[in-house]
Amino acid sequence: MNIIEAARVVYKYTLHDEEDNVIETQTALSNFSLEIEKGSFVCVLGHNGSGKSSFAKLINGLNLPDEGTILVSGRDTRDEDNILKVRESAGMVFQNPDNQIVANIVEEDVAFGPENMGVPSEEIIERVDSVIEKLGLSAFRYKSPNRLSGGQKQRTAIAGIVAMKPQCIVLDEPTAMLDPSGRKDVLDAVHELNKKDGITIILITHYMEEAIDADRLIVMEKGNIAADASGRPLDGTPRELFTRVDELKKHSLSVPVITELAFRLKNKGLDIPEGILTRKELVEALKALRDKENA
Amino acid sequence: MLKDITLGQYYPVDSAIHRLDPRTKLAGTLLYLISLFITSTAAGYIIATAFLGFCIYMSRVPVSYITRGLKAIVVILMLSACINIFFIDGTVLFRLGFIRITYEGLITAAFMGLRLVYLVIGSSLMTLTTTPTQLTDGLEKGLGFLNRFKLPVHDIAMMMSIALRFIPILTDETDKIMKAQKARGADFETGNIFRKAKAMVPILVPLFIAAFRRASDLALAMESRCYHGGSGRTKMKPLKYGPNDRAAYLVLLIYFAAMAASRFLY
Repeated sequence: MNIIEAARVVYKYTLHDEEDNVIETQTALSNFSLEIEKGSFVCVLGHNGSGKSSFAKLINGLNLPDEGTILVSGRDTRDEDNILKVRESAGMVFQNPDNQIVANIVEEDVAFGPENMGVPSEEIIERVDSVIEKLGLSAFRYKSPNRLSGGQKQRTAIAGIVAMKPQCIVLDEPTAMLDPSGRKDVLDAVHELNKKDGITIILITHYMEEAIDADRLIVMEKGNIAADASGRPLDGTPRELFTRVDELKKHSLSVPVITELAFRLKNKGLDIPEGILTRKELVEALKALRDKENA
Repeated sequence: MLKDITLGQYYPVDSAIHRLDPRTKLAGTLLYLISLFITSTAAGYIIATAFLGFCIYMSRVPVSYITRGLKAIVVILMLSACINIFFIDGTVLFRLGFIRITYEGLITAAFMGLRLVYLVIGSSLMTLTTTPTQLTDGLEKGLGFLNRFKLPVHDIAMMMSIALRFIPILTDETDKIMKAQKARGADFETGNIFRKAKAMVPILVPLFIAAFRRASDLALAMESRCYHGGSGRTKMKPLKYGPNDRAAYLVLLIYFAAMAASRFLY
């Protein structure tokens, strides 16, 4: 079952000068179609201006498509009566953790979403209890968000979304402002939500390393899914896509170091499989190769 | 350095006063301030002192901590005392050249001084025992009746609590901007007060831009979390009056009646 269905979506934004005259119109998404399966972990890659952030905001109904439709668990985002339900089922986490925390105490911020939805008080407390436990925030529960590290703040922001019990969470470059340990924290939390609670995750990023563990990888360019020279879209499992290292590089995306190394070794004539993602896999492949030559 | 600024110096202990509903404390503070202005007799001041002492004792906040707030008003206190002592006519007690001190002057100076001191202590006792969040919650619920006059009470309370959340963030930002400008040779320390003030202007511009950017981000984030104003919104911990609050209101009422009596009966 698909949680998100985008059909021939066009989204433009216009820049105005002081007198409200249109300076220029830019097309962020052009004739963009995409379906995302429920429960999957999808990673959207692309450099600045590829339309990936616009897509994120369209899912949440913060932006509405100019043409085409976006259905979030079957609901059209353009229907005003749906908008709260759409936002309930597809939560969104932004880049800067400071700019999305509303309350002065961690626990109150987690409760903010459910409060807006009109959930009864007793149930809010239950949800907050379980979410704070789940995301490992118990030690900071009564603290001010200002006292937390970047990774902890971002986990608070995620907790605030999870408390709304969404079916899907869209994360728009959630790790861009974090240090490596904070980044790992956030990614671990997101992966766990996907595996244990079956929440669909759409992770928008430009770190290739974050894409390795995804179920599906989509490369975006110029407002649509990028395609390689033969017209095949760059959309598939990480293993499939990383076999096309040259293509990814053409879209100025760097592949993970190990994949790159394996790719170059293969090009030099070593007989190892395509699409190696982890160090362990490369070691195994090289070992197998050695054993074969010894035999 | 700017990070040390705290607003609403909450003193975290668990006491009967801390546990009161913020609305009770707000109403109590207001009544106390009014009572200070309606009284003018020694009896009234004795009652006010006793009541304040009782509240401080109940709040378990150390007296030294409370009186810290008085430093800010020392100048005003001295000024008002001088004016009262030297300029009020009455029975002369002491004369030296053109300076004379009257009995009435001394009495008024003492009462005015006490009144100022009690005003500050009374209101800081409230901020010491109430977190900013409780305070805004209390204002939202306590002033809820103003909704009927089309006053957006919820929105104002929301703005206040967001402002409180962003004060430390923006002071941090100011710090960063100042450092960045110092690194490029800006001078904030030398020169007279006008020069110093002028040097601050280039800080304000980037600070405002950053604040607007944050505001726009926050608005998006709030919207994406289903925020749509106060209607249909529930609370995780709704404010509720308990038996302690009823007792506190009773004490307040007795106190206020006594203060009113001290003025009109003597």
